[in-house]
Amino acid sequence: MLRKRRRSDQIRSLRPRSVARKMIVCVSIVGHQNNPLFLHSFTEADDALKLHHVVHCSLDVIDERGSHVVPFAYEINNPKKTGSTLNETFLGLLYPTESYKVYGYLTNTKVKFILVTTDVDVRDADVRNVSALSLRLLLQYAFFFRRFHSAYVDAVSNPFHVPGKKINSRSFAERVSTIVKSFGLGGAV
Amino acid sequence: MIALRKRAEVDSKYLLKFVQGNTSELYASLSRWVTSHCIEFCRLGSTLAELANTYYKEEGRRIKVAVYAEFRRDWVEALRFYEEAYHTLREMIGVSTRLPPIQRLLEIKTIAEQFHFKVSTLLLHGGSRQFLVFAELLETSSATISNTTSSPSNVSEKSLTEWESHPAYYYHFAAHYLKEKRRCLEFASSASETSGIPLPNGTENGPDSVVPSVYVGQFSRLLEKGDSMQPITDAEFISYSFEEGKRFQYSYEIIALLKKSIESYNVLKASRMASYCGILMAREYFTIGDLTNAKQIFEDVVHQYRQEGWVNLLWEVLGHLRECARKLKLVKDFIEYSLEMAALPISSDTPSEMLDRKGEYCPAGPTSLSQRQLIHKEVFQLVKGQVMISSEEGSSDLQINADEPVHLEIDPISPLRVVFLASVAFHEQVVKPGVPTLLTLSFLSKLPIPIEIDHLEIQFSQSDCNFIVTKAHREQVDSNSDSQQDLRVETASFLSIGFLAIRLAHTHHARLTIMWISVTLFTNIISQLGGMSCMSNTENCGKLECIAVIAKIGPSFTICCRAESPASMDDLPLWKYEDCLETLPTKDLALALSGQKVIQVEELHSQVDLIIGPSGPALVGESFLVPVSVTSKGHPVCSAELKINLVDSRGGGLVSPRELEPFSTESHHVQLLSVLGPDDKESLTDPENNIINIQQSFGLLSVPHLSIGQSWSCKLEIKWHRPKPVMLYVSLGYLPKANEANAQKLNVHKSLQIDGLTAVAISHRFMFPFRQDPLLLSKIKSSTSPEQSTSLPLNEKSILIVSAKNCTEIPLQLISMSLDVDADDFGQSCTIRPEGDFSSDPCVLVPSEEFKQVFSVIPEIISQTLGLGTVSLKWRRERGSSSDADAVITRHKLPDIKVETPPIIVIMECPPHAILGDPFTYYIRIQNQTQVLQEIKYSLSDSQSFVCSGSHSDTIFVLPKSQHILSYKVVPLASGPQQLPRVAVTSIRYSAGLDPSPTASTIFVFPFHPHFRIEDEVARESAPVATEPLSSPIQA
Repeated sequence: MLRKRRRSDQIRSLRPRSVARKMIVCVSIVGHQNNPLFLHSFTEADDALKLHHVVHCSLDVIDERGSHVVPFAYEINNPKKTGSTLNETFLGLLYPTESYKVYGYLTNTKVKFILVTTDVDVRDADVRNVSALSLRLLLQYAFFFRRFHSAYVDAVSNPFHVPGKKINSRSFAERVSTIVKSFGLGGAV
Repeated sequence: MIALRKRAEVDSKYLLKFVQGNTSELYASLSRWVTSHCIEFCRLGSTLAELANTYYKEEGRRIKVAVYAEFRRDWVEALRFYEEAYHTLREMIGVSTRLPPIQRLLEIKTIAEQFHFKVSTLLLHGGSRQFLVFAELLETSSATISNTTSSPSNVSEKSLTEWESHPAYYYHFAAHYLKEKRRCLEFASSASETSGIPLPNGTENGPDSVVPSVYVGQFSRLLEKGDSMQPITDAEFISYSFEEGKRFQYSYEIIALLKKSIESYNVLKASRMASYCGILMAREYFTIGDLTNAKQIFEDVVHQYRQEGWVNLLWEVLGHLRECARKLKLVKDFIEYSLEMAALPISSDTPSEMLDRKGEYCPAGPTSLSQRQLIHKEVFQLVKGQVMISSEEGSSDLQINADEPVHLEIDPISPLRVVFLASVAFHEQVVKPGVPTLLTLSFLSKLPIPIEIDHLEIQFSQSDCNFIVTKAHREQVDSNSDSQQDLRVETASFLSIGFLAIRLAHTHHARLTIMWISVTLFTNIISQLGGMSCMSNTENCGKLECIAVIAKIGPSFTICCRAESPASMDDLPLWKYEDCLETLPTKDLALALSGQKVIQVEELHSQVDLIIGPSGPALVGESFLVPVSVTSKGHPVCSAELKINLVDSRGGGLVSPRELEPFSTESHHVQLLSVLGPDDKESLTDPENNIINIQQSFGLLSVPHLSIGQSWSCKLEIKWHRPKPVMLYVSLGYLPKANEANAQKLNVHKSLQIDGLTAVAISHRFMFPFRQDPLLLSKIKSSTSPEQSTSLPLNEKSILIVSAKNCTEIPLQLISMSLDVDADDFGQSCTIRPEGDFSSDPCVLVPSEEFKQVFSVIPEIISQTLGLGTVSLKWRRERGSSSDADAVITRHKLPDIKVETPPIIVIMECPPHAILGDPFTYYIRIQNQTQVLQEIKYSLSDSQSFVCSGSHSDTIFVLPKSQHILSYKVVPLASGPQQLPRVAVTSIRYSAGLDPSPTASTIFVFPFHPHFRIEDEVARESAPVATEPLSSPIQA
């Protein structure tokens, strides 16, 4: 069994490099009372509960950062433009777990967007361009969060939605799935 | 360093940055270690890179990435890339190059060796240990730094984002990898058991005896036996490793690491991460069977998830807790956790693949609605007394013993509020005792399946209001599954509220709705005096609050739910985040929004009349009696007290210490003197049978026991010293029933305003005798000042008129008027004698009538201030009785007078009346009382009504101590009151003249001789009635 698994790993490692392996495993929206509003995982079921834990733990980091929110430390826009034009703050990498990396995004209504990825693939990148790589990735994440946020705004603009309650909208879930898929495929969308 | 950088082909920017960071004081001790290692790694990496570049350019890049990752302390990534590189290396063996195969193999072997070392350091050997080493190092270094330097930046102050600086992170990872290691070992050992490779001999000697191989290519491992090294096979080494792994106590190691991690996270105030580590730790305890510890830790972390509504995580923790309780045979805990789980807001059925993982994360199974229902059924079977739950071993059965009934308390902060929530609302805010009122009980349960309550007890703050609602007979309950509530109210009798069956139902559609079951009950808050006791009666006024609702389910299970007011009810925890419809506790919107569980019970209507007798205004000085009567109409009056209070109705006190009363020493203007008995005038101030306490303006006395229909009365004796309106407050406090210790007193209040009025106004006036004018020198001199005290001539009779006017609106009876002269003055200085008799029958003075009494005053010494004394008027209200007891004496102090000797006295003498045509003589007598000759000038002015004979004007001399008489013979010419010819007398010496007043010189002329009876004539002549003032007899 173990050998079999390793072999599959080897096979995976031999896949063409054009296929990106940065995978979003979970997206989540957490309300201002730190209650989960939306959580969707895109992975096999065995990690579902663990992802809940991962997202929940990331709130510690957001809390700590949120207490002194500085507009996104990484300059994601054109450096000439000031970051303050963004109402929201992309918090960047919150923390890495043993198998995932967690990114966060905080709106000015204290709604948190949390993204869990298996962001480990730097196959296409050159070692010398690590900084460029990370910046590109971060830009991707920031862009992803913006799309995610606008989807959320649309969902809560539903007149039948009560603010602060869980989002059960199917169309929202579908839209989020689309965003996630496009992120996985397109790279820098 | 530059060489190194070049070789490693690392961007100079990063390297420099790192080095700069190292030089800072903060990382002083840490950096030294890290740099040394990094350099080593870099060197190693660079050699590797060089080698790899030679053989496999692209794979070499991967190695570089790995080195770089390691350099960045990103151990996870480093490990991954080393692993990949290692695998690629194997593939390279088959690739042909221009090099001789032996050399190539050797090179590959060397690299593989390096890789193996790396990988094993990072994962297998190190793995957890490496992280542990880092963590400990960070901890100690931070401790030493904070000790040695006073740098403000401590580990705890670093932001969480710098996760690589915190030991907690590494402890956590160490625990994780240790767990991974164990998992792999278990997996491998289960595989190896089937293969069954025997262990070589000598492995029992302990871990020291086996030396692992140094590199991959090294075929054999060596077993140290004695001094010789003995090679062992791979298989043998593997089985040795398994044995070694089995001996190792992973769980305790993991727990120890996690404990450190939790401590460290708590320092960072990262409570959620600490909770997660707590869960991991508790799971370890759970797997090794240390349930008490596991339960303890789970209980510590569970509130975190409850608070923030992480239902899935809560489900996991509760599932563990439930399992712990089950295994520890804690029935109550088990029920609590089960109920909480069953009431969690999980509506969706889980995807099927979750079901495969049952037990992996949570012993309670996946988070799904069906699982909730399962748990619900399980727990209610237990509650209903069935011995059903047997765990896998079959030994630990749970059961509720009848001896030890399970009682759950649900307060507003309890997580079990979602299980059973009772809202109680009175329909009215205020109720009177004896009047039934409506009470709505609303229940809410979030359990997935309807529950049936057998027995419902509603508890109030006054325990005698409690009532019980019991289940109706089974057959009466509608088996209508759609209906939200099955409610049957049977009012069997007055005594019972009724039989009621309540099924708390909860419908679950696609969207969950919160449904309230509400029951409106008539609650009698009745005070029944007639002996029938009723279910809920209160005799106590004040607040009646519904405290709790106790639901009984099954034979020995009760839930006590604290009653909540709909107006002030918090949201349901957890469910408030759910996107579901919320309904109100009652259909009545006003009640749902403002209903209260508290009702104000008003005081019982007193059925006793307290009457303050009607009375007019009080008169100053008298003992005013106010009758007060207590009549029992519906209640017997027991241990009653009457409180009397006098309050100035205009505000301000009744006391005026500044004003000194000349005739009353009491400082109170109005005074409560005593309380008189109802029938006689006997005072009730008898300490033997009455509690009585009379003060100036306050009184307290006890009222004897009265049965229904009886009455009692008393009279309050109040005395006014000053005219003042006063409010009289009388309140009666009594118990409607005898022998009730805690019964509340009923109070009856009455008040009455009483005006205090001055009864009689006494005034006085001095007069000289009729037609007699003494010349008083002081009057001439100081005629300008009106404040001058009255001057009276010495040894001459003056007249004092004291008049008493009735100022009230009621007739008064005058008893006597007397003039009390101060003892030392009496007899020597002045003689005062009442003129005429005060009639023995007291005269009645109607309102605004004036009574006059004439006194003759003869001063006997010359004095500037001669005290005349005080007039005492004795009066009483005109009543039937003529007893002297209620007579009031009003005093009036007469002013001091001045006594002097008049030098000249002019007396006019004429008959009392005249008859037309009948001549009479009219004299003017001028008395000289001095020792000198007095020159007097006089003149007569004619009158038309008279014919007069005598000298008209002249100047005469009156000898000392003698008198001169002017006489005129006059004949009246007209009848009626006629003015006599006026004689003006002037004293030359004193420049003072006498001009007799027109009244004094008026005489009545009869047209013919009247016929008087002689007695009348005598009486008329003898009584000098002063009807008109004789003012200013002598004018200057």
